[in-house]
Amino acid sequence: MRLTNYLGLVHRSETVLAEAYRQVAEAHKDEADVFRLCQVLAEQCDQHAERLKPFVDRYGEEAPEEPERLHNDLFGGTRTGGLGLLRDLHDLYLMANEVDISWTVIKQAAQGARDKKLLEAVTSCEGETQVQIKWLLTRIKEAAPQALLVAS
Amino acid sequence: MRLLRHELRPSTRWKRIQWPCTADAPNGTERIYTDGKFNTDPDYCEDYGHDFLTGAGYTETDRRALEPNGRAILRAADYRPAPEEPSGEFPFKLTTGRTLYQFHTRMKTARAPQLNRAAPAPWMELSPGDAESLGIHEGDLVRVESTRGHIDVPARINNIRPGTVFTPFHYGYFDAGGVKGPEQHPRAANELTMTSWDPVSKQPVFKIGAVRVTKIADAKGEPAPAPTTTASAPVAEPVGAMIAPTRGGPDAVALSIVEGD
Repeated sequence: MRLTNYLGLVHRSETVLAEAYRQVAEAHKDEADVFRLCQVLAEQCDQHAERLKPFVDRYGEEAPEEPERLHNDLFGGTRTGGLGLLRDLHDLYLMANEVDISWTVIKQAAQGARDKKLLEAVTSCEGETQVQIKWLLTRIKEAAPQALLVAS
Repeated sequence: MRLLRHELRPSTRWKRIQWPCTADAPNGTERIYTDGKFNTDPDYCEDYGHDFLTGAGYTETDRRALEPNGRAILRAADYRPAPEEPSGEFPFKLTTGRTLYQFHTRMKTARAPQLNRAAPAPWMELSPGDAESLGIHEGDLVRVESTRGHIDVPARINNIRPGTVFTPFHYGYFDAGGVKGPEQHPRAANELTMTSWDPVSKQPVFKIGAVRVTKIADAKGEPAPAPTTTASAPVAEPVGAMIAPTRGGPDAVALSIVEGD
């Protein structure tokens, strides 16, 4: 069964995303809403990883390295200022979408395996990930004109 | 509204008129949406709504998927604890707010003598039990301190909920006798509150925070400069006896004559 691969993938992706949210919160403390919400969403990612534990125990887990690679490729040092914030939110958006597509894949397997508990957990986490993506998009749209046209 | 009144029939002239007041409803409208149809249609609504946790904007596609067909949309959010709660080091819940006699930063009310006399300077409210355990009496100078800053103000012992302290936010530095900021004489409640706001309404988080309270000096025979009326009313005698009551006076009298038919 290769579900182990995707369980490991989403588990690691959530852990790496939580870490990335915390880095962005720290790097953009002056943006009070980003600071607070990135911390809230980091906690949410931690909770997702926690909810996966019983299924990892049941099915096992591989340890794919893509999430770390994605994180390292995206975040090149701390960025500051308006453009830095935009680029950091942009990277979070890509990473959150990596999580989202993993949930979609696991959901298909959960349905195939008729694992109601897994399906329930995935549906709930997937919904929250989608709200994270919506927020990132909302905040990116807010930051973009100022960062690209006004700030020097 | 004045314009509307003149156009209305004499019998309704001084009645309260509820919005919307239109040609179809010349006497105003007591209840709206009586047909059970709400303005939620994706082609008509002004906004597709927001997620309460993050403020993320919903899209036109989201709204169309809901197929509101005139129904109202009620959104819910999971419970979240306050962004800051009392703990060992900062054991009191802080809430900031208004006094009846001042408005916002007092740019007008500080210049109205009768209003300013009622509440001339900031204070902090503390319950009798908490005051006793901290050794604080009416009028004592106390320091209220959060992780962000502090204020030094006199204490008013009143009937506030135990474990909670209150301080009014009206007092900044514009009339603080040459004091320019918190370095010299910290007295603004917003030195204590966090820089955070609700992601949808953008309402700032001024109503909740965690602080500690310590006594700095004894009262110099003066009570806290807080009104003896409203929520800041001091607890019963004998503490109340030394406090001059908040009263109006000749300069507080105002006369307004409304001419009838």
